Amino acid sequence: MTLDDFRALVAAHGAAPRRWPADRRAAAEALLARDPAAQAAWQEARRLDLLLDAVPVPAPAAADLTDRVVRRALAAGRPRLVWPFRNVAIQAAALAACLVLGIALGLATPEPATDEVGDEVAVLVLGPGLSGNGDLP
Amino acid sequence: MTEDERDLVRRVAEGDPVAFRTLVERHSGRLARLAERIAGSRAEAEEIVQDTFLRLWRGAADWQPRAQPGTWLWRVATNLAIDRRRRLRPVALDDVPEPPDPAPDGEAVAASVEIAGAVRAAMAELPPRQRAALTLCHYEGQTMAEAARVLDTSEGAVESLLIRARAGLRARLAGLAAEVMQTGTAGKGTAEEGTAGEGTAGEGTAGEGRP
Repeated sequence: MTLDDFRALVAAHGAAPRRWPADRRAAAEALLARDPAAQAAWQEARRLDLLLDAVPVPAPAAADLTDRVVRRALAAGRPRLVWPFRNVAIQAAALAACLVLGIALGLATPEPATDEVGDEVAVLVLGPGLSGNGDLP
Repeated sequence: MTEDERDLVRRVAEGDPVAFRTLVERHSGRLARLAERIAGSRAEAEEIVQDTFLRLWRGAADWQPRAQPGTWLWRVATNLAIDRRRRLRPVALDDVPEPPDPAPDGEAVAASVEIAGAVRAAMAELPPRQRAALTLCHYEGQTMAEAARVLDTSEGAVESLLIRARAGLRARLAGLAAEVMQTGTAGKGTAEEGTAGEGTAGEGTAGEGRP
């Protein structure tokens, strides 16, 4: 690691080695141990770290925050139901399969034979004029 | 993030309020802290947390299994905080929350409160994404990889944001920095108080399970 590399490192991540990227940490610590210029850059970074760390941690969230979040979500309504066929290709395949099945069933079903018995029953029940066989009285 | 959390999201997609509450309880505290640091106020932070979880509630059905729930929550909260911060700019110093009154234990505490207020004011002037990167990496202990996932950018871009953020703060706080080094401390919380003590962002320190 060069001095410039080290300067860039502390300029981004500060003086605490635990914040340094793991792949650069060992080399940076070695340079810091032996190079006065690196130590000066480190001191500069440490000044800012001290200032940043002077800001207290925000107080814990309000005790009722969870309740408010849940209440608001429930009031907004349930999530919409999960549609299992998220993939467009799957949806298209499902539609095509339905079409093919429908056509196959239609072709496989035999033509209905003339329903002579049904016609006779209709004449008996409804009379010849209303049976729908076309013969007017 | 665990398989358990993905299962919770799946249950949320089915409208399970218990699973939803579990996720809120797990994440709302950290999200509120993150949002407060970026957005700058507690009230804004609570709104951001509510909006974040409302999006989860409404969008859970569209959940992509490869996405980590924690990462998603952090990303949404961070983006909401950045958006609010942008709408507020330029920041008036009067808008920066006043630090609490110093406890009655002397000048050191008063000085540290004053320093904290100055740092808050300087951070409030940073561009929102710089502020977000600094918050994620310095205060929340995220690695660059983790911060990059939250900010939806590259690690190199995160490092660039950090460099510019710290340079901006150094320029604004030059006088204070010299003063701090004379006393050897800024008096108030330490980095450990700010991060390690409360756990790092997300769940753990390794890249994978973290938001």
